[in-house]
Amino acid sequence: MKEYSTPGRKLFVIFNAILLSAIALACMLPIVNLLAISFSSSEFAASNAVKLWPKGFTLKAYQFVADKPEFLRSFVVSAKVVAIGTFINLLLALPTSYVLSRSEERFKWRNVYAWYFVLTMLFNGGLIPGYLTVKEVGLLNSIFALILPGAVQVFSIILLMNFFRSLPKEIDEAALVDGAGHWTNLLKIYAPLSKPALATITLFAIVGHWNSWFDGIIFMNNPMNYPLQSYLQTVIIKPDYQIIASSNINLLSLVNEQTSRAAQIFLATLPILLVYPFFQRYFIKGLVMGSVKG
Amino acid sequence: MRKSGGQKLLFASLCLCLIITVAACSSGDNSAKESDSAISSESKASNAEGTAQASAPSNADADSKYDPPVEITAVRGINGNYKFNEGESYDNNVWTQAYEQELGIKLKYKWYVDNTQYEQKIGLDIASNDLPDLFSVNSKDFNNLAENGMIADLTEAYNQYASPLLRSVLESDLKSFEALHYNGKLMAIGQPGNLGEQVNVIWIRKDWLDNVGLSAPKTMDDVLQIADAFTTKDPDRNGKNDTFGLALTNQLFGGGFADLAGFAYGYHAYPNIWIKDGSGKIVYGNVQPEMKTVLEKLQNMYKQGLIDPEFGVKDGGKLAEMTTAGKIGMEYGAFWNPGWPLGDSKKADPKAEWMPYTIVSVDGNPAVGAATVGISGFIVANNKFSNPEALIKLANFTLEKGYGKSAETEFSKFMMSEDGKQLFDLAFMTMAPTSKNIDIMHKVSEAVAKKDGAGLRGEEKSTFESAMRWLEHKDPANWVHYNVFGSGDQSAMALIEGYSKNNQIKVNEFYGSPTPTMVDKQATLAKLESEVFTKIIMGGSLNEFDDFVNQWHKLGGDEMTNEVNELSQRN
Amino acid sequence: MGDFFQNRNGALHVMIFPAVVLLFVFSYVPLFGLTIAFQKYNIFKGIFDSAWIGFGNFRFVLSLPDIYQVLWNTFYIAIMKIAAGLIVPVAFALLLNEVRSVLFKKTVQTIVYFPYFLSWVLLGGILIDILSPSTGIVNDIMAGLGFKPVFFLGDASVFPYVLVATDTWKSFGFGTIVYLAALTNIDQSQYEASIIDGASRWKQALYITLPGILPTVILMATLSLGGILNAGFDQIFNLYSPIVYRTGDIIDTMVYRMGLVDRQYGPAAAIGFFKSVVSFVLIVISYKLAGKFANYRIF
Repeated sequence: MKEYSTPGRKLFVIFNAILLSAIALACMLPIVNLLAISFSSSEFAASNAVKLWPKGFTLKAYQFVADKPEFLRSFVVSAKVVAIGTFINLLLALPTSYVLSRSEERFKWRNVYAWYFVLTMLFNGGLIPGYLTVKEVGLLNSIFALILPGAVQVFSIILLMNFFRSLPKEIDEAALVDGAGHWTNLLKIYAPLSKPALATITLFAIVGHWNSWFDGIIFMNNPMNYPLQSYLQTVIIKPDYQIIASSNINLLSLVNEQTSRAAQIFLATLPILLVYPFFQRYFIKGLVMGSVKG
Repeated sequence: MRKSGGQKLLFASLCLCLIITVAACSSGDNSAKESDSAISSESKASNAEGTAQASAPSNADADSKYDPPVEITAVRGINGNYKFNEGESYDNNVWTQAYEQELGIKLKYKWYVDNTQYEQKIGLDIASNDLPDLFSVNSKDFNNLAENGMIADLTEAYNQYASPLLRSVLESDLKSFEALHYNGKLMAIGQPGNLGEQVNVIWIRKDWLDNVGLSAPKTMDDVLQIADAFTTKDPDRNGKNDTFGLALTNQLFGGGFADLAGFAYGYHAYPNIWIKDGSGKIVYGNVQPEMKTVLEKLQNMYKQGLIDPEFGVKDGGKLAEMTTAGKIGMEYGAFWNPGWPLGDSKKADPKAEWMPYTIVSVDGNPAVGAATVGISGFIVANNKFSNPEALIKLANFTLEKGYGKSAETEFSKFMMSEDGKQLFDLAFMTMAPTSKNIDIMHKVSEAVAKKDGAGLRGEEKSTFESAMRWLEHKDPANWVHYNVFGSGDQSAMALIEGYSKNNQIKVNEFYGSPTPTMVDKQATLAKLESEVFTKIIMGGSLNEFDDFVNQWHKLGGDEMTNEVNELSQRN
Repeated sequence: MGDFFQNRNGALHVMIFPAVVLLFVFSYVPLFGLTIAFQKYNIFKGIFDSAWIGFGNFRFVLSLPDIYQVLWNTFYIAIMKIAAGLIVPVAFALLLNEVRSVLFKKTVQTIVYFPYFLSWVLLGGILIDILSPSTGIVNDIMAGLGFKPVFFLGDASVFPYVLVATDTWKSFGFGTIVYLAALTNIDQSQYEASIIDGASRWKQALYITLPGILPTVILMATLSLGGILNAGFDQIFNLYSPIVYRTGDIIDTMVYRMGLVDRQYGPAAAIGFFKSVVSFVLIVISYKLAGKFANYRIF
């Protein structure tokens, strides 16, 4: 593509670069701060003296985490939930989105289905009925309690459905006329053409599973089975003073384990940050060309 | 990470906890007289009935063992920081093994959850009517469970099995003991709180006092003078005007650190509790004229720059950071403040010499602190459970291992290991005499003075050793033990003991489950109150206080007052 | 032809069946919980034995003295967040689209994605520092530009905007992803054709890129209307304080504080139900509008 090089354009390019850099900088500060705290010694962290560079550099916080079997164990649980959960999300989203992307003229049930799905985004029964349902289904304390209730991601399905619908109708009809079934059509034609959308919903699924913590605490009977974010919740929300003060004053010093908390938060966030570049190529225009060129 | 947000949650949960304590069960006091007579009549009856019960062991011995063993389901909150030895777990440790070997009780936990999430989780068990045999609840749930007949009457089992030690702990304070009752029946076992420990002390940096040439406060005027000097006279001698006179959080009262309740006591105001007025009627402390004086004083301090102009957005976590950073030299707080956050201040600046001082008053009448009768955690037995007496046995056992005869030999096996492991975290329940901390203070201080810890055991011994490590090596990590327990009359615990001895404790006249109007209106009133109080401190008109009082009465306060007085008269 | 597709519809039912069943079990069955909104629900009695009180919970909530203020705050903050949450990611995606260096593009994109993953608990502490009127960096910069210091978190008149700004800052990077994906779907040949016509980059952005992602924008706008009464509990809970209750207290924080006094399942369920109905109505309206005016079917 030819680049225009009017003075106005040049000015814009420079301005744009500066603006984007400034925005990026503002977005980086908190994580740099977190990282700096995790490498600082605790008295500096406790007095809020650590800004963007560690003070009293130490690896103690990371040693502490390395000594904590809970962290690694929860990490493994999270990895499992993400792997199985994302797989199931996609497995359900693909055919569902495909069906919903059919036009009403050809599949009159589609509207009924569409609203059936949309309604679940708006109404929910609340915590107790949700808990009772999972319990009655027999999923308590099972990893599937963290996966199945959210297996159908309606938001992602609608996104993917819209992407499917934006694909040219001609290929679709051609394939079906050729005698291919819907499954073949979905897997051979639609899915390969929808990589950016699939990458998007996969990323959403991974992030969603990685970040969820409440279900872990509610559905798991033992912290041994907690995913990472559920475990972190118990680290971030500090123990109750009164419980502590009445039993043992020594425990109070744990209230201020800021550096190890920072280290754990950082380590727990790192994987999800590292995952992004793998998906990024699908979002960078030009790397994936629109599949149908005129 | 920065603590502040988490701290906010912590404070939220603390509020919750305070409310729970405040709400330490109405039933007992609804029917106090009734309950006494009920207990004694029950106890007569129990001897006859107890032996007739087929499932219970036939001898009434507190130590009797189940044979064959019984399996008991329970749930528990845990402290996520406990480090297990190889092969050890909450299901398998010295306590569970001993329960089985010595009591014939096989304890099976249905679930464990971090203490912070316990209430949520037990709520779901209640909602799904899937409760274990033994579990712990807060006072609100306790009342509801009892009212709905979901928990077992322990009166008989208590009369039959409770050890003298257990009786002495539970019955040390009659009101607390009543709190464990519902309609005159004992329905729960729980740790009674020590009232004195709820009252603040004034924590002041002695090194700063010396720098500005002032001495310990005797009156509120001294406190104000210190606050002024700590702001204007460069108490840290760093040549910068970067310190504040008094710490306060946006919560104002409560929280146990940078907590203005102690300040209010100095003006005979009693925030967040119900007190008797001159005529004997129970009234709410925050709408009394004394509170206006407190706000006026704080407003003056704000105007003079003695308190942080940004206090309105800062919670305890932020204040802890400021304290550790050396911006704060005086705060009202609980006896445990050296554990957090003053210990951090000590680590960051070894010169920081935090000392506790007893609360002072504006006039000739001594300052009186407020406390609420409370039980931390009501441990109850499911109504469907056929061996509710097991709960009494477990309680006997817990106290015996920690504070009975066996503690002399087995303390390090069950309570705290030689290397400082807090084994009591593994027990199904924890119980201790209410005077525990004061006892430790006396023994440790005496030993520290003699520099000889011979004859000390358990927690006393470890506390003594830490205090000595502070004295000998000035290791800041051990300072807390010296300051709270080891420094004799100067220790925080000694001040707490003084509050009890000198009658400096006013007990909250209301300690029931929230009344119906409280359930409906309290959140709204609390919001109004915190808005108005903060505004006044930040320079609003003092007349707003009078408007607030009127509003408060109109918007449900009068109904609440009537309810509270009715409840109290029923006694 | 008609028969041809009709016959195949059986396969479509089969394809969608698993998702329908899962949603039935995990979304529709628990809807029996909506009855809590009409009960004096008591967890000790359960749904079947709790007393029915009709609209009692709704009346109770509406009788709270500051409820209209709180509802307005919720709506006001949420609507601004929805608007900012649409405009900023789209604008950012378009600006990013103008960058030629792939490395720069990728780096910026990755970095702006970071804050989404940090909790409000953590960010709250940081924001109190950087927004401080005396020591905060934002006020330092503003002072350098000649502005008076602003007590961002302690001034009720600016607090809602601080909420919107910080929320947007936290989540726009993540929100951009959808639009970036949509950008890839624009037919490249359109750009090539426009160059031949001599269109400027600006015109391309205006007439090709923006219309190209418009369906996605409409979709996201409609879906975000579902959150019209969700002003962001976590954020506000970690940033607000009594000084800014007047403009910052929202339904969810109010319910939370009510829950501190006693479990409030009934009123909480009533509020939840109310929110759902409002979202539902708004989504139906925008669905119809999009269908009518843009001839675009959202779902």
